[in-house]
Amino acid sequence: MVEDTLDHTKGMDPLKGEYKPGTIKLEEALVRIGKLVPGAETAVRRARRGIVKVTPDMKDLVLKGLKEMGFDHFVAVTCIDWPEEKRMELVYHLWSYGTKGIIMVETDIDRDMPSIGTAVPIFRPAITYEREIHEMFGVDFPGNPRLTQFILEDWEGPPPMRKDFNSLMYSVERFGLKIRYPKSLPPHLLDKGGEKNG
Amino acid sequence: MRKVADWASARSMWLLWYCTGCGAVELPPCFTSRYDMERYGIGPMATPRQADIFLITGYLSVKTLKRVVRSYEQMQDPKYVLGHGSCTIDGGMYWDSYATVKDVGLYIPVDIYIAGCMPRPEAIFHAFEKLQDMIKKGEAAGWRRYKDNYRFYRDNQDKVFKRGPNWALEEPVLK
Repeated sequence: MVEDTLDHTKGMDPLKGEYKPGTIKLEEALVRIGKLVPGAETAVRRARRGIVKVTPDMKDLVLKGLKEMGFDHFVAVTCIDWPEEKRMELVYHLWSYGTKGIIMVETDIDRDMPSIGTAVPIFRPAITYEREIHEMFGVDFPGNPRLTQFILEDWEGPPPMRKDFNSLMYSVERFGLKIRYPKSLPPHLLDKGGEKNG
Repeated sequence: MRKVADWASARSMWLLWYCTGCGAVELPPCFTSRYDMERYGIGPMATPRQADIFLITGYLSVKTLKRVVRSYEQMQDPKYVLGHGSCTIDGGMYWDSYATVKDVGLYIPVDIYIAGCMPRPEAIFHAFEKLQDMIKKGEAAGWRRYKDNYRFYRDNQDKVFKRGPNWALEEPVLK
């Protein structure tokens, strides 16, 4: 068991400064982020739903900025695997109770060496989401104090949520699954011949 | 003497229900007045050490299998395992999942499988009647099979999970 060494009081205080709930609209927040972070692509996908695309090293700056502007509810981090494009996409969902809008901060990382700095100092709830992504996708989060085994106890295979993970052949090897009707299955599942680590 | 004990124990059993998956919803009607399990002399029990029947209601992930084996080893002999639902037979709808065990019978000896997804309480009671018959005839010998073939079960268990240092249970005699 790893002890949590993090302190709630450390890190950013969202209520410092000029922020008042509801004062900064989503569109305005996106414009400010565009000015604050060079190279950030911003867009409004539909009402109350904005997107910021940044490089991994600028991610912390964007998250901090959005937190100060009232997007202080950290909803989740999600990870998407794009094996053809050899990238992993991480999406940080931030919600603002003031303007009732959500902003998704998207960033791409290399698929072969997936690693991105942790968001825990800015948003403490990220500790568990990153732990899960670490286990399911094999992404490393340097700085996260709790990247231990989570749901998959005694897991020895490759990260199972990656798209090239063959769950069927893994079941055959590990759990002794007997495939009774192989013709009824899509052939690519059987051709891959077991687990592959991307 | 064994026969008398079997005859008696078939009429008075405590049921430990391991509610994984969705099978747990079938059990409240079994316990309560709608189907009334007590008619058969079967009552719910909270701890494995005092239970006779181990009812596994649904899929087992690797993490829960570890707890199931541990609970099973804590139970006193004679003990009987009922696999409830198709998930315990071949994985059911999780047949190609990376996280769930396919055949529970590879890891602990199952006396009766109840087919269905979900089995109705009638099916559970059918299994109870069958189990009582088997006990009276001395056929429900899963607990003896576990001791006799412990190497087989233990190898299968070691394939999917590790026994930690806190397992703290006496090892059955290896054969």
